[in-house]
Amino acid sequence: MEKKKILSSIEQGKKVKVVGFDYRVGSFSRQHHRLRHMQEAIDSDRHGTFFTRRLQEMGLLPGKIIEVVRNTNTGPVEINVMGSKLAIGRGIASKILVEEIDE
Amino acid sequence: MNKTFTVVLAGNANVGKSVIFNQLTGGSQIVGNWPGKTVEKAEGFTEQGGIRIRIVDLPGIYSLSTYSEEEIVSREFIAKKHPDLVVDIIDASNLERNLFFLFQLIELEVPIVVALNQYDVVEEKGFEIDDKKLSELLGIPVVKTVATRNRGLGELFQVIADMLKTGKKGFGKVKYGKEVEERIAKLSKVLEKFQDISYPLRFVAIKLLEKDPLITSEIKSPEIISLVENLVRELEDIHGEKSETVIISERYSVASRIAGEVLEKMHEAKHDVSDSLDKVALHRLWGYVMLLGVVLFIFFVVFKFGGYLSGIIGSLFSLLKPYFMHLNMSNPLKELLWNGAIEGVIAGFAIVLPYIAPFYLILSILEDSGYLARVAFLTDNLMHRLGVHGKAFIPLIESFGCNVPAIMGSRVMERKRDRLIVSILATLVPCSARTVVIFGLVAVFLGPLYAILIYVFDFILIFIVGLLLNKYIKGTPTGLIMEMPRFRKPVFKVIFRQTWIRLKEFFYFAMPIIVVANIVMEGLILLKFIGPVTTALSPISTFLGLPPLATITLLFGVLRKELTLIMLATFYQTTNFAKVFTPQQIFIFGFVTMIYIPCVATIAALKREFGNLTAFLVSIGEFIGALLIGGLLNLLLRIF
Repeated sequence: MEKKKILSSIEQGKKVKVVGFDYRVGSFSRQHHRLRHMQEAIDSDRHGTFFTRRLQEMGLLPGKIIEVVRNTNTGPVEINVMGSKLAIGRGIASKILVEEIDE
Repeated sequence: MNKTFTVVLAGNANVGKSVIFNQLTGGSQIVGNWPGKTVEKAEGFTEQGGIRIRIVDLPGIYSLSTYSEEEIVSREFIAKKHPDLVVDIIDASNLERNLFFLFQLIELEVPIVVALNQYDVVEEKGFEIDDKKLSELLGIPVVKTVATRNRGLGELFQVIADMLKTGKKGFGKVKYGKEVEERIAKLSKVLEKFQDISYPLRFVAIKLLEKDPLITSEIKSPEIISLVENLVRELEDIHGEKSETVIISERYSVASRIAGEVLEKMHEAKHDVSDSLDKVALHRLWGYVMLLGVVLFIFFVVFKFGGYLSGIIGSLFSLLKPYFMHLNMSNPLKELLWNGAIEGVIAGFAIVLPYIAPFYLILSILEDSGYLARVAFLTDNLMHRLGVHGKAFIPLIESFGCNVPAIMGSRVMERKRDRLIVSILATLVPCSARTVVIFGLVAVFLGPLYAILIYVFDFILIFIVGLLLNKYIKGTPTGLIMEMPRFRKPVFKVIFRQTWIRLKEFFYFAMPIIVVANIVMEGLILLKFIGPVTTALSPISTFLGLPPLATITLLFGVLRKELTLIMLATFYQTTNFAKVFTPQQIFIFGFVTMIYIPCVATIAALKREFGNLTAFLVSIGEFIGALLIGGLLNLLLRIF
């Protein structure tokens, strides 16, 4: 019963496997290369490129098992990834694709 | 040997770099328990075992890619300034993520020492880390430390000094999977032909495969660009993921393997108090109740304790006056000295200090406990209405202490737009100087409820301004990604030190301004210059319904907001303001002082971060806004 869901819809206490992100992951457009300052690129980042990478760098990689520590259906989702707690805003959490796993 | 060595402290956010920095240098970096406090690198000097060391504390980062100013600054510093040693401070309870960062330092081929900090948390979780084995696996010296309790720091400093003296270096080693390593080698070989690369070749090769934008943009050779494109495609075909994801995964898989080898489970974890506290602190109902409780608690402690202390100190000082007045001096000089200089000092001690000291103490406790990150979590939804995410609330809380560090602290926000919104809102937050005016004037003479009312008005104003800024400043809001620090029992030494650092600012920076401004004012009175100035300001006075003299104090208040109150006392020769003000005037004066313009230090901070135009517009905008609202209040209070 593997089914892709979004992280923000997972009940708290459940463990899930990260599958991916629903916007383009980490690729830089030509435009990004031309920008002189990274700050401009970050400011003009419409596809969540930087945030996706930030999440990956913090351990949210495809295949990782994470635990939803807190999800009250409003506000950020708190997850446990590799023993540390991460708060992720609802908007971003609804773009993270996960799979429920049987324990 | 006179050489000064340079040692860099690097690592993830909130691992204790600034605590170690302060211990090493006796420096006064602000420390606290949330990610992103250190926004600028700090420097200090120390002597260890007979050698002189320059210590550089870098902002906390998760990676050496180029996704934030902090990361670029840190990477450039480490790679191009060639420090003699990099101390990677690792949160030992979070080994994998911190090793992920360490591997990137190793890629930069700099000499490294690892401090396994916050080791007490590892023990609480029931684990031990085999530091000898870790050191062997990494090829780098490793020392266990608990910086806040001063454990292991002596040994760490010893290792640092020894490495500098002997020139023995641990560069470390890390090998990734075969497919990746083969491509790194292939690319490095081609890169060798180019002389103008300022980073180590292996590092450049990895960054190119990761499509790091800054490094990629520096490469001009078509030969390399096409080779990189080929290699990236091969990697993506093999793994079915983007090449940057492949590299990140490689680092993490090595990190997991090493963590698995050195971590030993000794016993069951102790009951995690932090988790239990979070059940309340982050609860969708109780969390907010607790937040409100904390705010009211701070308000009443500062008000009650401050008022009590203010009374005692004030009456102590007033005992001095008869003695002074009997001194053998000419009368004008005596007045200038007493009313100008000494009253200024007294006001600083009797009116300002009693309110800011308890406030700073509580703020330090909040910072050190980790509660601020919970507030960011709770307010994320609310802050999104203002176009920023929850982390914005942290600089706004800091702003209650002083607007200047809050504007600097707005750099916890990733985007410029967010930083601008947060900084403008921060200037409207009543800092400790304004708290003094509200408490010492409004709360004392109208009652605490009116003081709360002024705060509520101000918060509503901040919210409205936020809505407007969000609407009219271009750009889209961003989401929250924040590491949640564990709750920690505040360490009293750290808290008192932190409070003292802030109070020192008041003594060394604010007090002289207060005294000098007071002397100038008294001089103006003696020289009878006050008349013309009050006439010039009379339209404003009438519009706001304030006594002309009170309006003059607003001029001086631009220097420091508490000056308005201090000068009222100097002018009227009394601290019983009920005698010279009507209640309406007290209320209007309090509110106008709160918002009418940022103080000079804040304007300077705005200018530094956002340029002249922004600083000017914010100042003018707030001035006009305050006049309009003050005038409106005046009108309304007259009618009712």
